[in-house]
Amino acid sequence: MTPLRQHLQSARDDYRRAAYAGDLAQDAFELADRRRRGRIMRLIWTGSATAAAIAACIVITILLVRPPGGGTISDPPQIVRAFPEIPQMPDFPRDIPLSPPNQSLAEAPAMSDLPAMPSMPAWGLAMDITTNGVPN
Amino acid sequence: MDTSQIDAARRGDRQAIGALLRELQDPLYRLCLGLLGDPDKAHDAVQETALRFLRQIAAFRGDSSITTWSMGIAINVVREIRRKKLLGFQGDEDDPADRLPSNQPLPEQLASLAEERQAVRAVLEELPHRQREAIVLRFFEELSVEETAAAMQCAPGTVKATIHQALRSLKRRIEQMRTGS
Repeated sequence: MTPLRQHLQSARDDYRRAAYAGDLAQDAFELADRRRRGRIMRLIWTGSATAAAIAACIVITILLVRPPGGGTISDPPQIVRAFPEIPQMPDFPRDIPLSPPNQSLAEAPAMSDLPAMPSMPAWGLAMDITTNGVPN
Repeated sequence: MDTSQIDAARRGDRQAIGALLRELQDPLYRLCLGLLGDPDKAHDAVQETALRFLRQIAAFRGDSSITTWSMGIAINVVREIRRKKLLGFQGDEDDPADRLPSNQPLPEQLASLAEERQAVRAVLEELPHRQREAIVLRFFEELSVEETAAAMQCAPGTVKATIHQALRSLKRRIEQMRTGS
């Protein structure tokens, strides 16, 4: 037997002595169950986090778009057509005297008392209009 | 492992799956330990292998034996651990052969090992990952070349070439140990 073969033989003997400490099947099933539970929990957590994120986005969007007065987005501003009201014409006052209160109509100056109109001055512009209206 | 048990396991029978895993637990643990060299990491790796076994047993087609098929799963897990994808593995991700070129003498700590067997085991652990996988499956688990190829997911010719390289490397290292260089 060559030295190489001897060494390989002894190495194989050492190798063959090793054994798994415990029950691999039980360990594997436990590990698989634990990982499955972990996956479910991760799924739940991821779902909750996603839902919360979507809800937060919706709330933020509403807060950003909504006017500060508290009106809703869906209410469009109502257009009010304003027609100015024309007030009625007031009644003509009947109790107002025609003359001032301390003066009677008799005392008012008559038309004959008015001074005569001044005469028109002659500027030397007399014309002879006897012949067909043609000046000489 | 009889066919009816495997069929029941494929249908999801918990008892049949449990029985299969109990039969496979030692070979799978040995394989993980032989490839990783750390009992704790091997323990975690074999549990991860069992979990994948549970998930994938329904898809087992019977092209190879259930042992070879499950060893293929274990090898994938070990490769992922080496790539630090699982378990926060902080071990040597680089190929040990890169750190120890075959022309250079063995490191001091290896030379100081009292037992030659331990030294040989250390030499085995220094082999490149693929070579170690081939040696462990072919010589320690005594799988055929075809079964080794199925477990390693490569061609039988690749297995033969890998084993040839590994044996040549081992032989050279053992001779170096004997001559003390």
